[in-house]
Amino acid sequence: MNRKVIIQISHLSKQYDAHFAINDLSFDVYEGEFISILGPSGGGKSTLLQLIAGLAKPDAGEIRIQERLVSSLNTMLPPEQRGVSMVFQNYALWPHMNVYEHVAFGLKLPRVQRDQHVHSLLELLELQGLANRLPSELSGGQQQRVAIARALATAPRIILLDEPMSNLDGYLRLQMRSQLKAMFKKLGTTVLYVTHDSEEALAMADRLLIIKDGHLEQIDTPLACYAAPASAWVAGLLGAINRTTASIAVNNSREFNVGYDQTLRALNPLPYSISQGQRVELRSRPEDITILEKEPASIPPNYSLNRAFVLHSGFEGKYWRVTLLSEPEVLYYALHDNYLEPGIYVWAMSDSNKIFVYPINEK
Amino acid sequence: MFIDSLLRSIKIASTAALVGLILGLTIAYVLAFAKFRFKHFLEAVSLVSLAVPGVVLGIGYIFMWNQKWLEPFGLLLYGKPSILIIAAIAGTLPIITRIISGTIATIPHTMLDVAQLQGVSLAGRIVSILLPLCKSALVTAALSAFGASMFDLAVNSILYPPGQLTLPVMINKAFEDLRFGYAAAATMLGGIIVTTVIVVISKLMSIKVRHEY
Repeated sequence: MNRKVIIQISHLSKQYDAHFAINDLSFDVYEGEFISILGPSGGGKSTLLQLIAGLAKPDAGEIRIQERLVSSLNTMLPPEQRGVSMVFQNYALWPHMNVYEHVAFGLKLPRVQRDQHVHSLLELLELQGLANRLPSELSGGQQQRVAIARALATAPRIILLDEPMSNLDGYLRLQMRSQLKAMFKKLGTTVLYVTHDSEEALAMADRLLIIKDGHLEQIDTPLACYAAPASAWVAGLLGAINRTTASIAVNNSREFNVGYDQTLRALNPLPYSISQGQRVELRSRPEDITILEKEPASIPPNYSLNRAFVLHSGFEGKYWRVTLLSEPEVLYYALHDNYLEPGIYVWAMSDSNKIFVYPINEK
Repeated sequence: MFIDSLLRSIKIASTAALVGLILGLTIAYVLAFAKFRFKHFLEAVSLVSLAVPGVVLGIGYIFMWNQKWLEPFGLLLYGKPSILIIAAIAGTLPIITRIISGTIATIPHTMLDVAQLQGVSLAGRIVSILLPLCKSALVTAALSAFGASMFDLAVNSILYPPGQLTLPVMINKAFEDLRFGYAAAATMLGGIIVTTVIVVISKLMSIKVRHEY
């Protein structure tokens, strides 16, 4: 498929005093693509959107939209000329304007066409009958949809969404995820969607852009990022919270020690080779560890088995989150169907294909 | 005489309030939104007249606007009503700027950013978004400036043009001439008229119009 690049970011940097909000960031966005920008709070996600929108000026690098240079150290195309719309985290609705006036705000159309356009957007966003309401008379979900309708009104090529669901309750967020993605796909709009919720990012994106301290950590499809996180930090962000930080490769066959006489095999494909004696960080997800209350007679190929001590069992609705301790002091979590009494010994079985290995570079 | 002084004071105070409002809004906007290098200097200058006594300011205006070299430019203002308007603007500007700045500081920048991204010009953003959002502060600032200018005695008594008494100067002169009854009645009447103007304007400005679509 021949995809057309709509946004080109090259070596982009933005500094606030001594702090780099964006640090030498480069990537392309294709037309009609839905990109989720994932990272921790203060990681530079919102700054990136502001730079693309033209609300902030880069200190280095370039931004091109449809091949036109819109931002660089010496060029700054005003936001209103970029063909970009934005939905802010606080929605930025104007308290003195009703829903109709919000959606019609940027439209330069004759009255009849404007009415038609506004009402078709209200219908698309399921806001019929609310045209005369002020923002204070709307629910959180309705406010969000008004902000999106307003952003779509001027038919932008690119829409930037800055954590638009952070003010919504859990059920509404789930509902809006699929609705929004389907709507943007139908309209063919290119979307950059900022979130710090990894589930939301994975569920909505065509590609994930993961940034930390303004630096690109990984850009790939959600499946690829989930299956092979590019760094230990990305692995942690995508749920691989179990970690050892002082494991050593005991041979050249990807076997690593996790205690005095316990080892784990990590067969997840790596872009690098690890030789005996290399110090590594191992990462795994709690849902990829199976707890067995009795020692099994055999285990499937490519699985590792380790004895562990139950420290705590916490009920989380669908499952119990069990805190385990392997000798000598490796603490990790696993999910289990039932309560396990703290103090007992169990067997933890892990799929070697789902253990991630990251070499530790010692200086 | 009372009517003449009252109308003169109303004219000066309303002009000062209006011009002060435009200047104050501009300064407050620059302080809140513009990426302007000399913001803090501008803020300090806008506060100067609060820190200097009115009498000293009045004498300063005489020195400033009574210089010969200003004559060819038509700016020899001492002895003309316009010097009273300039003095009133300078006196009310800090109050207006403070009141509007306080409100503008509470308006999220994103409200103007989103309007800009919708393709609306700076003038359009100010008229459609900023002014309605700080409407009550603008009304309060203008009416406070109007009220303060109406009864400012210190600067008025130094700068009033010969034979063109303003309301506070006229009342003061009546007291000095021991016409206590006249002075008290003028004070009461002036106060009632000014209060009525303030109440009526603020009621009119608080009327909300809702459009139906």
